[in-house]
Amino acid sequence: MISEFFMILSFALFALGISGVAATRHFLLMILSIEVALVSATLLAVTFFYYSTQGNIMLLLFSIWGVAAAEAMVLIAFYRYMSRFEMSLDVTRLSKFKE
Amino acid sequence: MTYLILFAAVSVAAVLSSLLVFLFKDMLHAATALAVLFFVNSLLFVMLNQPLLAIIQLFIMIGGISTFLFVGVASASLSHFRHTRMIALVVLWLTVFAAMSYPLLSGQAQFQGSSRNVLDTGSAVSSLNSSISLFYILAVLLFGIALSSIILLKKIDTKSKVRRGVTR
Repeated sequence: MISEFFMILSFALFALGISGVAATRHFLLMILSIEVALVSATLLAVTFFYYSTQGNIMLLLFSIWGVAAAEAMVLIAFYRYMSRFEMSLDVTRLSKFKE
Repeated sequence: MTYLILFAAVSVAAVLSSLLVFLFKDMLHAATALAVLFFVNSLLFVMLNQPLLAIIQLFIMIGGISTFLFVGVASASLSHFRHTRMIALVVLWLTVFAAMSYPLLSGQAQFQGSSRNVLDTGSAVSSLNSSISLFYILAVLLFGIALSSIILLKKIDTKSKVRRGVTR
């Protein structure tokens, strides 16, 4: 029963993360909400590891954290590009990139 | 029973901090709320008897979230607009959460884990008191230093802007 509590908590966090991506139009908040979804993914992976599997979960977790780190790098590069052209962080105005 | 109360408190803190990410208008505050979520997640790892993963999670909190804090401070002049539709967020959240957890709650799908229960081990909560607490203190101190230095830099920047405005 305890494991199901952990699973439901990670479902709630994941749902909040992906609905945050859909509901916001702030570029940085989209990145932060993806981080929330990744946190819930790590929590679910550790829960499954603790309660059922006997294998090594470190590779899976390091891949998830690697995705988070790569996402931060992409964020910094994209942010630098946006600040160079004095863009807004509102994603609805990103059509200016065509120009 | 103590474990359940502790789990309830930690899970409420997790959901609240992740909601605060979207409620705050300032990016600095939103990134701080995300840092709290990472901290709470490491506490959940400790409750699952994984202290090594909890320590790694703390290091990620210090390293990764500090990056977000710097970007958030740098974008302070760019981010003053109404960014999140809260009604859409809540409706989407409840819908997706209901769709995901319905098979589990209705009994159509059951978690096929072993009989291993964290209540039987008894060492999950007590492991907080051992060597891992040092890492928690260190993480909180480092993150506090990062946060306070950013706040200090913002204040210095504001003062210098005021002075420049006075001289002009």
